[in-house]
Amino acid sequence: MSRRFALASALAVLCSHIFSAGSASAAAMTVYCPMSEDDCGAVLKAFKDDTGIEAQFVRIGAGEILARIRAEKNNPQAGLWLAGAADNFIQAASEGLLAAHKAAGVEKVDQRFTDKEGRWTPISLSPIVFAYSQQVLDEIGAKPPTSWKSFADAAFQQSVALAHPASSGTAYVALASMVQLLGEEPAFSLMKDIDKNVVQYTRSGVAPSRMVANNEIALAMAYTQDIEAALAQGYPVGYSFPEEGTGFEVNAAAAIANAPEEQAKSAAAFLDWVLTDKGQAAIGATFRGPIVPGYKNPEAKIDLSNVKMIDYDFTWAGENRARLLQRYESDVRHKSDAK
Amino acid sequence: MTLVSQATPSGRTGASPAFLRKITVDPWLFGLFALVTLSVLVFAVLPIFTVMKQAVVTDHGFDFAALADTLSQSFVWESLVNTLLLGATSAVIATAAGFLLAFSATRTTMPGKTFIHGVALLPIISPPFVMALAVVILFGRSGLVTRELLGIRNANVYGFHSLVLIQSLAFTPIAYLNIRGMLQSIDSALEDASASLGASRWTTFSRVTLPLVTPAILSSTLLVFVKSVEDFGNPMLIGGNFNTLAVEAYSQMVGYFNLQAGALLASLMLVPSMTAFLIHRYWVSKRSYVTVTGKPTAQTIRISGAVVIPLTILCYAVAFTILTFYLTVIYVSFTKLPGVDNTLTLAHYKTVFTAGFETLSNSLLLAGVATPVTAIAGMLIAYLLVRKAFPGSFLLRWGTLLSFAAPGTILGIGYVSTFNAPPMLLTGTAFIVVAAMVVKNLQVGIEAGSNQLRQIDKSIEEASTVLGASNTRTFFEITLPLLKPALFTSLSYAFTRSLTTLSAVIFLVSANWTLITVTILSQVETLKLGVAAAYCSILVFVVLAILAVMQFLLTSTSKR
Repeated sequence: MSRRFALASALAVLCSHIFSAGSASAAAMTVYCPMSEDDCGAVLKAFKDDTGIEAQFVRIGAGEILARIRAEKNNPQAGLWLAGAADNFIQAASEGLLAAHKAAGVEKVDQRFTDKEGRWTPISLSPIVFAYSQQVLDEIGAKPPTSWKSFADAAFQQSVALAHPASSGTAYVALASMVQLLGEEPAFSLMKDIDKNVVQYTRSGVAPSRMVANNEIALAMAYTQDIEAALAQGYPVGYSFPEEGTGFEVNAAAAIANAPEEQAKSAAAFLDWVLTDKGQAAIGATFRGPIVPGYKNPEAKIDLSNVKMIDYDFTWAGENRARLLQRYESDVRHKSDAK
Repeated sequence: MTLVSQATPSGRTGASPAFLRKITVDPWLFGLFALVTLSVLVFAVLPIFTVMKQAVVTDHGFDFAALADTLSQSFVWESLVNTLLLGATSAVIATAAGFLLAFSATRTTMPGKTFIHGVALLPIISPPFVMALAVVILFGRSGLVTRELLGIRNANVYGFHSLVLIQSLAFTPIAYLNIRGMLQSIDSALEDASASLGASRWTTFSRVTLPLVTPAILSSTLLVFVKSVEDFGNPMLIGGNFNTLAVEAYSQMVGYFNLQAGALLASLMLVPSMTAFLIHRYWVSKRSYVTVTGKPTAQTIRISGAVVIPLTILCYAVAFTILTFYLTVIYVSFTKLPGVDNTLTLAHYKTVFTAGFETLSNSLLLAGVATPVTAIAGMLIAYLLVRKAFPGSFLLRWGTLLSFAAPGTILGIGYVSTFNAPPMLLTGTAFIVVAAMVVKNLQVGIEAGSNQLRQIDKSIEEASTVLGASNTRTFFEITLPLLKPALFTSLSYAFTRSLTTLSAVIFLVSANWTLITVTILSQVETLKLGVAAAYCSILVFVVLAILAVMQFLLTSTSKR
């Protein structure tokens, strides 16, 4: 009898535990964050140390965050969306999923990188860099890439991996950079040539650099912070920048529309904090480039100061995303349609 | 022998007095049935339809133009063909391998059966990405086999061949468990009779044994086919330019922000799965497979002699392949920079132990809650579907199948949209994660249970009810114990799949309830392959230990 009672009470405790959404920490802000667990945790810890505001994060990919916020829009569960390419935020803003908040200090940021209505706040800037494996280059007798066109070189047959631009911000920025740099027709004709060398289109933008790090493939395009992370772990990844100039991503953060009041306040506080020196230092520690000019991560190995950057119009990139992806899908990935 | 077709429920014959009588005779059981059906409708059908309806309903109402537009693109059909090809190939190979292992382990004198059994079960404990990563590390350009062993410099692992290898290996346990459960419960008197009447071993096998396990073979093929169609992680990681519907649906939804096309492609995925299921149903309902009749049975005959040798070699070949994959993962967890610097190190385990095991214990707790619910519900549903023909059974049958065949992404997004507002506000709780785990894994238990029930003569249960036991009591005290092999199948499958599930729960995890698979994904995406492999190794060992305990408990209760 007592055994049955013990079992029942244990079940009851378990059930109450499982049904609760964690009421003890109800005041804490929930953050959706696509950075690595370490990076998400480090930035939010710096935020807490500085402001005393508690935050907990759920780590999921940027595209999945958008899908999730959309599905949750009648009763948002999270207050803040931290990091991810601005494209995703432009899309979310156009669907009315983000709450406007003019972040303190946003006037220090290049106005091209901001949203006029303040629906999202730029937090960092990540240039595209070419990653290569010296070992594979030696084997196939090729030189490190110097230009976007290097990727189409016949020497790199079956030696290139790219992320799919529909699922990866990295790949989309690269695509949009090529279009802005070369013009749309030449860019797509180049992409078709590159496609011949591609062994795998990956979902995640980091995966191709992982393949380079493991000497699986010769070339990949990546964000500088991904290569920094690989270098910090000791992987012998080579890197170079295109001589024509490279594109970059503006990383953003935003408060989620209609979030619970307590969370909305914390999210606004975060957006104000992230552009302060301490906020930029915390973001910089993840090897992302600063959006407020001046900060430099002392541990960074890639020198960004001399990198030639194109005048990347990412508002255009955001607005033309659906069209470019459509074209990419039909012209490059599914060539049979075009023939 | 009783004809199973009599017991096959058909919900559409109308509400005749016979149906009413069924309800009044068994009010308790009918109550259970109603409860289970309602739960399936709410937790499986509703969320999936919430997403699916977007295929035709956009902001402009019914949108057939968008529908036609999506369907006119050739990539849709190309990926459909790819999906079917992959599904059929994997299903045949995995079922064949599963049958080989199951037959050798139950019917022959093959040495080392326990070892083979253990190894054959390993692949169900495959956390996402592990198999694909192991293939790359073994057979990639810098692969341990391709480069170090064979000296091939430009091996290409990406594509159809790798997918077939991975899926066949990963889904073999489903077939193995299913067929093994059935082989064990076949009354060997029939085989004995065949042998003593002078039939050769081959005749006995092909005319008696094989036909008797046909339901398990067919349902294994079906399950593997559906799993393969639904598989998203492997084609995404290693499919190369071989695109499947699951990948296309995902990239439409999450990448192109095109819910309509994504929902449509996901609906398209259901077509082959549902068709396969219909064919299977038609086939099985025409025959009888009853062999467990309650009459005394003799010891199973064991095949010995020359024929065992090739079987043994094949079994060990399969086992060796599986082991190679897992040993690779363990090896990676001890190497400094996998593929680049193969110095042995404990650093990854140090990282894991420093980070703590919160996500692992979350996963264990939630899977631990989901497992018994899934297994018991699976047996109960199998019983309700095979033995009782309550009006409305078809809702239950198709509802559970739908949840099994629907891609995890759809289920996840459906859950968030459906359970995010009162009166069903569940987002952020662990309950929603548990519900998704149960719903996603129910079907394997139902299949195993149904197969076994088809073998059990109804008269055993009738004896119980004639002697005065209620139907509910009969189920729990007579039927359930007879279903023990199926119960074990269901328990182990539910537990391991719940622990390693990702695509559905990624939309459901909250800050308080993060799961270990999400951690592993994060490590993989940030190049920390060693740490990811360390997590996977720990996960595999924990699961193995728990499965061993589970098996021990099940066998010891049966000897009571």
